[in-house]
Amino acid sequence: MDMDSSNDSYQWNRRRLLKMVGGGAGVTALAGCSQQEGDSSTGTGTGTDRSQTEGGQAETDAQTDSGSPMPGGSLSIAAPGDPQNLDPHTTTIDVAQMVLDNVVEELFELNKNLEVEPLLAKDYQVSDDETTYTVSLKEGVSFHTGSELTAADVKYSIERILDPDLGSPRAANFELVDSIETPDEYTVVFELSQPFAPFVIGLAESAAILPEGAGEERDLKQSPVGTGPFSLSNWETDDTVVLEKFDDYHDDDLPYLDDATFNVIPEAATRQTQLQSGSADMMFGVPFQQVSQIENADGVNLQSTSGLWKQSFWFNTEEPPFDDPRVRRAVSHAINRPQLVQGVLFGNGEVAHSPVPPTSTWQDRITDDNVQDFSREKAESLFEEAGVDPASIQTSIKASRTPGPTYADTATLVQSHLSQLGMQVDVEIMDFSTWLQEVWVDKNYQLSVGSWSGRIDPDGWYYRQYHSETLEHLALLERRSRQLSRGGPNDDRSREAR
Amino acid sequence: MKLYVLKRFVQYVPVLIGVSLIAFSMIHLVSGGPVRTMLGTQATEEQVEQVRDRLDLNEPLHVQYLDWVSGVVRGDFGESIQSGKPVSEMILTRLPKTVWLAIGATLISVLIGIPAGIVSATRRYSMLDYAATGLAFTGISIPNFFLGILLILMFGGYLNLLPVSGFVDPLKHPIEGVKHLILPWMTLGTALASIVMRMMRSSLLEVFNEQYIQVANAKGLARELVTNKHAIMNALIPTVTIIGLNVGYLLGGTIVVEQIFAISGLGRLTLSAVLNRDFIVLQGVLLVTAFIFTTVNFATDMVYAYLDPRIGYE
Repeated sequence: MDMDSSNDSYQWNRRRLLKMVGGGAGVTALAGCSQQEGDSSTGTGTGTDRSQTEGGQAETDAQTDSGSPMPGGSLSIAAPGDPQNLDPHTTTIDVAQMVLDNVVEELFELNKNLEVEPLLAKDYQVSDDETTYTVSLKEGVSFHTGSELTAADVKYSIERILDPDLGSPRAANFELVDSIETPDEYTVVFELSQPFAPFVIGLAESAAILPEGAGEERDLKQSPVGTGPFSLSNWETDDTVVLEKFDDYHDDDLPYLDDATFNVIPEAATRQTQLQSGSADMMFGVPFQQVSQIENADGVNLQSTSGLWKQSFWFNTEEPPFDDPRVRRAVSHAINRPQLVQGVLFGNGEVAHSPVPPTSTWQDRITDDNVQDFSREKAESLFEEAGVDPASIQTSIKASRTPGPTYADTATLVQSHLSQLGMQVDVEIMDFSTWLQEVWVDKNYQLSVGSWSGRIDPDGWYYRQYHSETLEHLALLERRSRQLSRGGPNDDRSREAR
Repeated sequence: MKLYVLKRFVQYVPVLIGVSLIAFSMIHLVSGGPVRTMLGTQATEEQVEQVRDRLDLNEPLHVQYLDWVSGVVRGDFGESIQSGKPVSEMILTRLPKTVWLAIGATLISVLIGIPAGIVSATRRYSMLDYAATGLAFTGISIPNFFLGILLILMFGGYLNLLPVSGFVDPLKHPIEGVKHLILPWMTLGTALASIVMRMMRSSLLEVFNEQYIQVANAKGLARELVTNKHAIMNALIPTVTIIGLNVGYLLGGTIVVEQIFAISGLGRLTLSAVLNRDFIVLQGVLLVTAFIFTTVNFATDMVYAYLDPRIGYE
């Protein structure tokens, strides 16, 4: 997932995190709280959720709590923003995903260990040449509309994602799908044009199954529909989103809660007061600097898990002097990363040394060669090697103040690191929309700070960020350099390797 | 009088056209567009273009503007680019909340500001005057985001007396509704009361120096009578102007206070429209705001005529 365009003033766990914590995150997590609803006077039931690098929520409560969950109860959640768009195939908003995780479901889900498990699917087979995926569906699954889930709904949903008119940011996950066949009511066959290992992960991450024709019959942005444990009962923009229990949910035991209300409260101090005074059972979007305070507050239980979100520092490699890799490496060695973790994330994160973040099992091996340690000597000798005097460099870092404060804070700290070498660095803070246009679209920048809240599979990191075909819409690399395709665009070994 | 009212309404037209033109061009001058913001970083330029085409955003600007104007004339404010909801509906659900905020804050500012101003002016250089001017100075100086959070921590957190977020319609649930509004009212009202108080004080002091007041004093009228009967009415004129401007400012969106207290009023609609570059929504909101502001100023002018019978509008 990319930088979300949520306007919330705090970064919070990237949307897929919730998925990660359990595709039925809503089910289990909300169910866990329902049990505690009864003794909320003791306040043990209030779970909070940390931002980006973390993300777990009341989930662990559900499992570690003694006593079995009781059905019934309402949950009040303090959310930092409005969902804005609840169409599961197009939304890029964190809060929307959080709501939708309870409303729509995918064929597969990811469990806590990031492994794929069937959700609406019963199981699946892959052909020997790895281009045909045959998925059999669970029977007797109902949509909120009352109709039963069939293969036609799956076909419709994936084709809707691929419809260029919709402009779904999820389309890239399925661009290798040649055809979708439905030999019988409960079987779907996906034909891929070439083997693509992360295909099932794509189905788990972002392919909500909607009833056939839903996109034409209703405005999905306003009234999403799916097979989830809750259905949307009311949504007042910028105010509240109310979910109510779906009685025909395919897991008979779930959900426990009768309803759940997301209250949109943009100001973190207000959310925190709501939580501590008991008006909210749960809060999302804890600012990093408040983590330790909330952790120690009475009656509040802070849950956090490492996530896949990663913040990166970007060079425009077409702009001298950053077109010289030695200069880029020099700058890299001049940045004190542990200090960024402390100063920006207040210790709630780790230093990343590879394009794939440390939380992923696919993280690159860290060796002495590739570790980007903070070393003034290395930086200075690299500058010397490149024949560039750092004091002659005048540049600026463009960073967005939204959706979270981390970009601007990082830019400011990096500015101080670089000025120690004599570089003259300005920090230009802008709003997200302007940043997107200037950095992402127009490539009108030298240095910037951005993030990438990647995929479970490393393909999501490497292909999207480094393949020549995708460079067109990535700000990370110059379009000409095509680093991964040394023999030209047709020799993209990375692509074939997948 | 009738002719005057009619004239004033005719004057609305150029004002509103001007406002809508400025709003329209400003949002297009700023970098960043609604579709890219909506689709995020992973959408390709191609996808962005397709969506722009679908939303008619690739039409020349003057065509887009005229399209919008011709809709407005027929009462159709268009649909939000971000959510697809009709803008008029969005404004109608949010306006009452902001109106409640504005009315309460104005009442507080008048109920505190005017008496405090009078007390201050009539007992100039006394301890009371110093206390009142000192407080007013503090009230103006405290930014409302800071005061709001202090009040939240105090009344919501520490004392746990009042709800700190959300809006409940006082017409449906009077007690709950007012409870939800007390802290936002206090936050907004403090600064406004200070402004009103200072204006009341200075204009009353000015009136006290007028010759007719000296005459009244010289002929031995009681001090209270001079103040109440002769001075206050005249001193109210500049104060009413300030109150009118305040109301306009409040109705234009109390962005910060709505944000802190999680009230989904016009202010937050404006903010998210700006951040999302949803200019259809922004134009609608600004047009309505401009209309309200002009109307409030008009009403203020009418109040002058009541306060000072010499002022007539023919």
